Amino acid sequence: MKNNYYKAAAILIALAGIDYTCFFCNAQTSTNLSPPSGFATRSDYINSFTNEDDALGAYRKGLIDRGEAMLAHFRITNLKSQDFYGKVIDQYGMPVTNADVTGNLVLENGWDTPEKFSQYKTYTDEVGLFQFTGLHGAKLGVVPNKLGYELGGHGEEYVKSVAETSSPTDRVTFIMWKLRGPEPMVHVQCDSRVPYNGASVSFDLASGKKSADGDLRITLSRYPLNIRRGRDKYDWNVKIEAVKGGLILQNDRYPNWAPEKGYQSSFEFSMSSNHVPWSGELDKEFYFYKANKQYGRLSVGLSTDSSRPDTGITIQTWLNPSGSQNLEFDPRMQIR
Amino acid sequence: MSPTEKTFFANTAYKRLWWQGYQGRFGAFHWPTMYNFPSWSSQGLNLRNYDDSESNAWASAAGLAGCLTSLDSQYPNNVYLFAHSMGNVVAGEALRQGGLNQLVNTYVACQGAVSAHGYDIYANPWENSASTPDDYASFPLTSLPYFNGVTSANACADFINVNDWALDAWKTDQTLKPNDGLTFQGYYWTTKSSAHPSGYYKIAGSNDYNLSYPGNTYEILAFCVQSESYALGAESSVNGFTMQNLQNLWPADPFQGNDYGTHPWHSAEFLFSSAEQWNWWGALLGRTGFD
Repeated sequence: MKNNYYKAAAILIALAGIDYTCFFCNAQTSTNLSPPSGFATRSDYINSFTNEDDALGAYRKGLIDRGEAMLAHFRITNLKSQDFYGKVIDQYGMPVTNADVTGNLVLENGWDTPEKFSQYKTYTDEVGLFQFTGLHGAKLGVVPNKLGYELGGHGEEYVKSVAETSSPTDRVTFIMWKLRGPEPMVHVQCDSRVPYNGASVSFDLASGKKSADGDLRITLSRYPLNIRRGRDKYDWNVKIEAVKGGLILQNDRYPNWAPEKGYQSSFEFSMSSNHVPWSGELDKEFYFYKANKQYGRLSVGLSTDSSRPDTGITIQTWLNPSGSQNLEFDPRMQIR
Repeated sequence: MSPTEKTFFANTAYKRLWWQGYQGRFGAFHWPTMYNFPSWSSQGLNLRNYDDSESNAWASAAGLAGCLTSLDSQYPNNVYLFAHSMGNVVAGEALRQGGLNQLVNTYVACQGAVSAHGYDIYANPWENSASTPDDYASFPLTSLPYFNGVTSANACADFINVNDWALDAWKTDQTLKPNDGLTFQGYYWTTKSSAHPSGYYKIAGSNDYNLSYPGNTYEILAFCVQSESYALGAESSVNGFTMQNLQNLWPADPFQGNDYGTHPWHSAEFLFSSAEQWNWWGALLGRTGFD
């Protein structure tokens, strides 16, 4: 059985009922419960917790209510220091000076209500450094911005500090791409299907569509052929070929400049059924050049695990038809 | 969610699937979740509102299972199911009840608010100080993960965001189980004994009542058992599911720097514009979804 304190509290509530009106304003839930000795109010008691373990411990001991524990959780989350020390450099390692830096401070507002955002601004100095100090909240999102520079949108631009929290001597680094200037490019995305029995399928790199004389050839083999999707592990092999052209496998932060050399005609990727971790998905990024010396970028997403006679593939290409290695892409300049 | 919101979400889903080229039939399954909480502190008004909703979700699974059985008989091997957030409690349990009978061709779990250990004992644990046994990972009646593979779906896919805000809050809810309180009578777990054979019990009035499997399964899962794994929708790899990392489908985070970790992203496929979520709905119909 729970301790006597619980029983007393339950009886108290049964007699007095819960005051439904005053939960929010003082971040307290149980105004009809007595504050522990040493505290004038239960709010004071809840606000005395400085870490989640203490609040959880009090909850487990029956000293605070479940709602109070939740309130303590959100309150403690919003009290976190969000001091942030960063620097901004370009792809050459040079500081990006006078960049506009926005700090989006997030305050948790509960389970059913969106967070509250507060925006702060600063600028990088002459060596690319900036900081936000004195901020407290659940999170701080930081975004540098400068005309003539690109910032990745999926975290690829972000290099963490060595320690968990940044400091003046251990800064988070943002790497921006100093733009040369986008050129008109062809960009296509194509969802298609390929068999998994080892038969090759060709695609046209400029249109992304299947074409018997296409310059991209995909060959998928799977063993066994019949599998239960998502459940079975199996052997598979994918060969990706640039017919009369070449490919470079890449994982660049900003794939905006195709190398001049180093291309090879094909790449093969295999997965053994006993490989750990095993995956039936293939997602690869390449630079390519075509036989006519046009450069581009290729993204291949392939699921090997369909139980239908063929399986899904997503091909995206960005092609600069001018012959330039520049792959900076601006949708407003897309050739359609 | 209010009934109106549920209808809005369903309408949005149908329209967005249509824009993706889907021309089949569409249905939405609603169950009685709690709603209309004016602020987070209103947890104080009903200190268990999330778990009350979860309890209703478990209990609603039989209805969904019946519906899916009927649909599969009408459209054999041509029924596809996707569930959002807590909907994966309903969907997962309905499919578990299906056993070896196929109920759907493919089940896509989207940002699922249910224990990943229920499907995969090797799903990553998170650092919590669990005070209950992890019955999701090893269900006492079977010594297997609770859902033990979903055999009534031909295939399963898991749309995940490892930084999902709501599924992070879900962890807090798990931490605070068993539901205990000063202002309401709660649930408890203790070392098994003759007084409490399963270890689980609840207090009502001046009495305590023992809870046990299978009779009180839903009550135990909703109010007592702490998941020691991340939620299904926040776990990067779950055995038996084709995984789809939603961050790879989404545009750049407009709350930039927050890594898709703010509240709206949890329901982004409904709340954001069709253009912004084009890839999400394409993926649902595509190679990592219904295929």
